[in-house]
Amino acid sequence: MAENNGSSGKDSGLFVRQATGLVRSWSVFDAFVYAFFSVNLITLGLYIFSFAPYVPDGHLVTAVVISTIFIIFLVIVYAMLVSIMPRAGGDYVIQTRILGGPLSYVLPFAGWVFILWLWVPLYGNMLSWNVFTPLLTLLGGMTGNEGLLNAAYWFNGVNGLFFSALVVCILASVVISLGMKGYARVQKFCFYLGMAGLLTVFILLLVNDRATFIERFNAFSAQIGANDNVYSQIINSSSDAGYNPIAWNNIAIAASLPLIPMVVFFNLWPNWGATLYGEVRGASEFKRNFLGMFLGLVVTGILAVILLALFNRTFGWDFYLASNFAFYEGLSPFPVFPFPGLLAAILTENPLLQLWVIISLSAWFFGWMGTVFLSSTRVLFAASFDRMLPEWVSRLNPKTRSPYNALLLMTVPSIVVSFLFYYVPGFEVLTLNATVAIAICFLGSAIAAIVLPYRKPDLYHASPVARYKVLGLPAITVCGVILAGFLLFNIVLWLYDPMGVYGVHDPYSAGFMLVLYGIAFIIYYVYKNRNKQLGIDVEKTYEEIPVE
Amino acid sequence: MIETIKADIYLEGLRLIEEAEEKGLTLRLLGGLGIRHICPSATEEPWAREYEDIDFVASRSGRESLERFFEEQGYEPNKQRNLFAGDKRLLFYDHGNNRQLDIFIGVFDMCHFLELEERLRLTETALAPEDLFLTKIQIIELNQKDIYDLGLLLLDTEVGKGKKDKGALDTGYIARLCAKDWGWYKTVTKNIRELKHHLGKMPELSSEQKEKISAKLDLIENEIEKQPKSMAWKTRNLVGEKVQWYNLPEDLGK
Repeated sequence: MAENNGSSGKDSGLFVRQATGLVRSWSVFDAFVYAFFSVNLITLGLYIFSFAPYVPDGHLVTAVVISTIFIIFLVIVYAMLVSIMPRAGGDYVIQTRILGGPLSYVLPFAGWVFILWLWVPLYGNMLSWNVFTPLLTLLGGMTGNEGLLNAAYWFNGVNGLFFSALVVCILASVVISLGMKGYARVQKFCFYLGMAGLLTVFILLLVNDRATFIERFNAFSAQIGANDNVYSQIINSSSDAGYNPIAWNNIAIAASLPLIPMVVFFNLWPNWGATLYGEVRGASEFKRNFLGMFLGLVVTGILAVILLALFNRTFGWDFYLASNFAFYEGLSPFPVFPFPGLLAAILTENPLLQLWVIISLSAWFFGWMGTVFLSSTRVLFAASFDRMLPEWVSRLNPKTRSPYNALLLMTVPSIVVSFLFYYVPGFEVLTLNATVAIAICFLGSAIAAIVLPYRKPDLYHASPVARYKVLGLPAITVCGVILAGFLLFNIVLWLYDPMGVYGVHDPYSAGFMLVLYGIAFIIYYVYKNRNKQLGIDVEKTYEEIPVE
Repeated sequence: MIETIKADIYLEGLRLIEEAEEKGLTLRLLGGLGIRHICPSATEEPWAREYEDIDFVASRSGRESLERFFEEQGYEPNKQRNLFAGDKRLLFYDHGNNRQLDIFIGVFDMCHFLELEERLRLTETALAPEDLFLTKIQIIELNQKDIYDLGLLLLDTEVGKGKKDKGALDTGYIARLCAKDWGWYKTVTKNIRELKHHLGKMPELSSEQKEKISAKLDLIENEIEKQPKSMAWKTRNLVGEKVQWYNLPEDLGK
């Protein structure tokens, strides 16, 4: 509602509103929940923690703490960049407006569009291992119904995993089609439900001791068809295979550094909502942006440390690590992924409480699954507004207001990629770049932050972040340098991979990534030339902050 | 594209309502032009003023056709804003006349939230006086024009409980809303006091005008205070002003 005021307003103690007022769809709390779910402890966290045995001398807690400290700089950098340009599109807008040139298009496009296709099978794995399998295993164990147990095992196989990836595509599209307000409602409900579930897990882990767990775990394993004394068998089989878990009280700082590139698969994303900040209230205020992302990161970091400490207390640290090692090495007599939610649920003999644990923990997945496409749709919209993608990309269904074209651009290739991932041997390796390509995209934004005060001084000095200095230098530059250093540390380790654990140090994987960047370059030049034919210089477009 | 945009903003508002009606779409004026429509004194001093933008409330039933309709009328959409917030609000520009068109769809969501879909049937052309009053009085950062618009509205409309006269401002409706929602109560009562204060200081108004407006504000305030409050209201009242009770709309383009 435009309400431009007369000149006498201020003198009479009244306000002067300069332009059209707008109440954006998301509150800071909604942005916090999005950030909190983006660094998802139960889905991403427990998934990647399960690979920790492959860096046997590293300690998860040390890696989580160190990485969280460095990722705070990512939060600061993005909170500052967003407050300078609170527009939909995040990295795309940041890089094109500050750096310009083809790379500023290619890095965000590859990072937020192509690479997110590769994330769908990973989300599918997590849906299968964190939701379907534990739920069916639990029900099968309770009832002795073999059909349910077979269904649980089916979700461990390629058909079940591919089915889960399809479910991810469908559910993510549905929840995004609800619009930002609807999405916020779903994630808020899941947040409260998921937190209640996590609290239950904490309580179960606290009130039960290790002896009880061993007894209950062995009994449950027998119920689902495993042998007796599975707890000891898991530890022994891992040990026989040469795996000796690091002791809980050995913080092993240096040896844990190689674990960081693995752990960041889970906690590098508190800025995942940066592409959405055109729709968050008060996005031009640095402190608000910072708070949303910072709390998302730090609360998750604290919860991760508490949860791991409770695993040590009740499951036993050796067992927790060995159970994952044995699962991946095919040595485990426990027939499904040892999802800690399931292990916590069987600490109680009350079937309703057991179901409550699994169902409430599944809210961590359902509140998060939309992140696989939601942020990407905003990058597609922003490129479309710049005429660097066709106009139809940003069209909505007039009835449902679903961004159906942007969603189709994400879902159809994701289904193809998921099919290849599960059914074509060797393709799985290519998707290991899922984290790398986004980290490289973030590196582009870190560089944009470093050079912003010098490359776009007017924009910088007019912004609220110009007053923040470190030793007389712009804080955004200093934090950008630290962030770039942290990202480079990870990128170098991923690509060099001295321990051969990250899976990225692979010529096919690297070649695949280069192909994706190549395609993004082609798209850039196609649309740049098309605009040129229409008399539009895209680099001139990139000199202007997008209108709202 | 139909190039028929009128230079006179008020006439353009009326033209759009008429054109929309023909296409089966329901539009009602709100904001300054809505008040201008129902207040005969609007064209007289000291109330006469320039209007820079047209604000409408549209019915949700025609939501799918609205964007096409305004584009056909020669308006340029704010594509980005309409994409993100178009379920509740659309923004268009008339660059020739340097004007903006704001369309709220079924709801008014600014400092406070007001459901308007059912209210559109009550009147023709502009919203009912009580809705016009609420959409102005809910502004946390009142400016000079808001004060004038509210003063004009109160001066030219009858105020009373119930909908005895179609053109009258229904205090009962305002009181019921404020009894249900503590946030509305807080802002409306606070701004009534502000309004009295500012109007009292305006030399361009006669004492008779000031008294008339002030008496009507008293009527509204009394009705609000008399209305029994809901349990939710009472609970929220315990928290008080420690928790923000309104949204502060941000300037577009900030």
